[in-house]
Amino acid sequence: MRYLLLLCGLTFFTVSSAQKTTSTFRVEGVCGMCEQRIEAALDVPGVVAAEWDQDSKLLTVVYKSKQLTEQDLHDALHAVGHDTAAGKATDEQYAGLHGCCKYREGATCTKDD
Amino acid sequence: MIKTLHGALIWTLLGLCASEGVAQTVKGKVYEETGQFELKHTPMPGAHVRVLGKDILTVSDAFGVFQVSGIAMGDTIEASMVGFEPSGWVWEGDRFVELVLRAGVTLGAAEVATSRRASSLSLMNPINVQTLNRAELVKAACCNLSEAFETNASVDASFTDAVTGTRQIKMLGLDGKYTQLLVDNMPGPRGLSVVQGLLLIPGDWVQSISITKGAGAVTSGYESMTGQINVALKNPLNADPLHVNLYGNASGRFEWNHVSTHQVSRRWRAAILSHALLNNQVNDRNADGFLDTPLQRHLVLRNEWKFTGDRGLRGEYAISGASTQLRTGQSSEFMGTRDWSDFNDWLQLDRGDSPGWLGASLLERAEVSAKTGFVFPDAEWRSIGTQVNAIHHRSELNMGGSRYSGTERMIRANVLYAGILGNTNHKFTTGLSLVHNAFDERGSWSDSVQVNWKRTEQVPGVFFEYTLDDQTRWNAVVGLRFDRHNLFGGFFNPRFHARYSLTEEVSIKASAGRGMRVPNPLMEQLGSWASRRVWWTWDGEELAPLQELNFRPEIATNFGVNLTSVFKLNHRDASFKLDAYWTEFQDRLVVDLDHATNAVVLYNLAGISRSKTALAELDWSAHRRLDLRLAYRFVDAVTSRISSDAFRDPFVSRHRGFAQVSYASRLADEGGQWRGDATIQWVGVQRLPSTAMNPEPFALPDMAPNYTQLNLQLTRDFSTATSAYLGVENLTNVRQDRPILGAGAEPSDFDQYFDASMVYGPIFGRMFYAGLRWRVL
Repeated sequence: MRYLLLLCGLTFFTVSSAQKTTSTFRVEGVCGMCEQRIEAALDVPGVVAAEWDQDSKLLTVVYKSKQLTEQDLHDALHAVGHDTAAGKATDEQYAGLHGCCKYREGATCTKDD
Repeated sequence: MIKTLHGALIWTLLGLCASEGVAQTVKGKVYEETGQFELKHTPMPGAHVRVLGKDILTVSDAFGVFQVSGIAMGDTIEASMVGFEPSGWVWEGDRFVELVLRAGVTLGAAEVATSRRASSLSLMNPINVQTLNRAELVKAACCNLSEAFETNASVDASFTDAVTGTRQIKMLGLDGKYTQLLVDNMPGPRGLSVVQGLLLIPGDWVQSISITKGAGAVTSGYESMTGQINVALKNPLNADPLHVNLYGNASGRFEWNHVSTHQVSRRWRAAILSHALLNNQVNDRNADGFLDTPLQRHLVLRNEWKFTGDRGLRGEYAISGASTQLRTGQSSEFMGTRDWSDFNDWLQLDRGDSPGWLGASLLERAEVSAKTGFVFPDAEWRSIGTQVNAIHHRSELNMGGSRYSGTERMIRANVLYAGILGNTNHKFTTGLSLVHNAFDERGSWSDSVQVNWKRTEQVPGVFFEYTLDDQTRWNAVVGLRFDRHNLFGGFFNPRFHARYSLTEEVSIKASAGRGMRVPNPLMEQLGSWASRRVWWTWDGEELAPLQELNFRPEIATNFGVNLTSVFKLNHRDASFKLDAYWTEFQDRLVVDLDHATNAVVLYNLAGISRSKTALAELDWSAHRRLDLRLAYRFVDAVTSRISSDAFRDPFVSRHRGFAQVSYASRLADEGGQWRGDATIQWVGVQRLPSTAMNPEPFALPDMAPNYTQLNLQLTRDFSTATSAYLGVENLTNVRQDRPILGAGAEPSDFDQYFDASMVYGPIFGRMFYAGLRWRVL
């Protein structure tokens, strides 16, 4: 039984050993809610890990370059209303944001949750 | 003239009472509701407070407090803040108004993060604590606390015997009695309820469980040897307004659990918790003629009140009551008997009153507790608190004519003062405690032997705990405790914890400490009642029937080291934990089941008794929706006994492996989600108490075979409010061979060899269960 588990573990490593690229770029946002939205937007096949830091506004994303390009990531973020280093969300996309996340209006965080 | 004046006065008063149009001043406070699993109300500074329809606007200060003047009866006060749903209050003359702001609607759904870790370990805390929150606890929908550790590598759970279905826990290779169990930081199952008390804590009432390995905190008493387990119940502040859980399983067990909270007044909140269990189904899957699961009825109720004063005064007051009834035995005796009216007669049955073997157990417990604390308004670090609780516990047992009856009364008072030495890097807690504990126990296991034992303990104690905090590289907690026991004299229990961070990701913890407890062997060794074993003592030279229970207290010292690290594995969060603990008894009440197959021999330790354990645990968030956990634990527990030098303790597996895969689907907009958990555990060989003197088929092998148990559970959250679960325990249908020795034998053999306490594995086999959870947010 223990060998089976070991096998499971090994399978994970093999599957995930494809060509991976790490990118770090700025994404506008305000709060913990933005963090969840940003990270959820990158919940797509090909993204291994995505972490956005509320203080530095920097997003670190690890993705498989065979499946995705960096532009795909930017597009996904614009689609949920967040401006990135490579472009801006349209006004319609931005309008969908919750009130506390309106970074263009200078919304600020009261408390991180 | 006077009349006119009188009339005017009345009109003025009436006017004041109605106060229509009369402008007044009101104070209030704005709170923010935070937290997902544990709701907290924290004061919110900077919130806008306005009176609707009037030109009155103010901003809450640093403590969330505001004051508006010019308000009139019927006006609405509204607090608002960017990102929060505005909250309004119609003013009807209240002197103080509280407004709670909840984060926006969309946040409510977004907050339930799929990747939220269900159990957490801290890199900074000097004490090795593992906290299991609701997300972890619901992974195996469990019924009461004794079953809540099924998915935990640090705590082992096993049956006490094959007839009552009672489970006991083990930590660091030693019985649960050596672990101090706390409920809301107050004494939990202990004394006579040390084993059965876990049945009285329903899993659905539990908010979180904190497992501290090694020396515990001195502030909660002297009884911790292998660690402390603190169970935080849902309380008026953190529970949902209403939570209902229904559970049913294939063994015929049905449960109802409910928690509701009520805002009684501005300062008082109350919670009502209820639990009911019924099992009326006769199961004998292994066809040994005995019920695999007992027939049971449980009712547990609790009412809790929480007081939050405006000026630093806090209070928590609770009252709870429990009653359980259990019947078990040979299934031939259960044909048609499903009503409980003759239960009390069952408790009185003597051997020979019924053709078959029958067992019955009754528990009754009442408990009140009061915690009051005061935080000095100008100095948040300074506080004073009192904890008082009183317990009345009654336990009756009749196992095939072997009868036990015990009553325990306990009152404990604790006064704590917390402060700082110079600055907040140096904190201390000091205080006094007083325990009054009275026991009255009666036991009879044949016509000739009867024990009646009374004991009253009075233990005043004093403790001091110093915490060196906020050091980036290291911190430490030093605790000292002295208790004066009226029967056994003074005990000094020092305890020490330290943490050193090698890097930001790796920290090392060390602990050392001593604990003391007074044994109550008749209830701690509950399983032995379900056998033909007779109780004996040994004075170092010869055996004698147990008459007096005047054993020395148990004293143990524990040392431990722990390494905790967090790192990235394949770019995803992972953590690794390595523990090693050593428990050495200076004095122990040895329960010897090896001396003879028809005896339990109790005696004070002469020689050594120690337990060495190691644990390795790897947690990895392999994918956004997939978490993995792998664990391995090792135990080497040995004790010197009459017959020989130290050898392995029974019912402890040297090796145990554990793996868990947890899947959570992408969260839908309304909170809908699928979750799946698979837990597999492998329990290595355990030594069984020697049955070599018995003839076949009443002899078991010296070593119980290892076994693997697989549990699965699938949970469907339809929304944040409703969810359903379906699970299976022990999917591969592993069952122990001959859990009851003597079952099915000729009456003469049965009388001699009956023993249902030789349980090392599952009895019932594969079991499906299903349940519903529903809550009002």
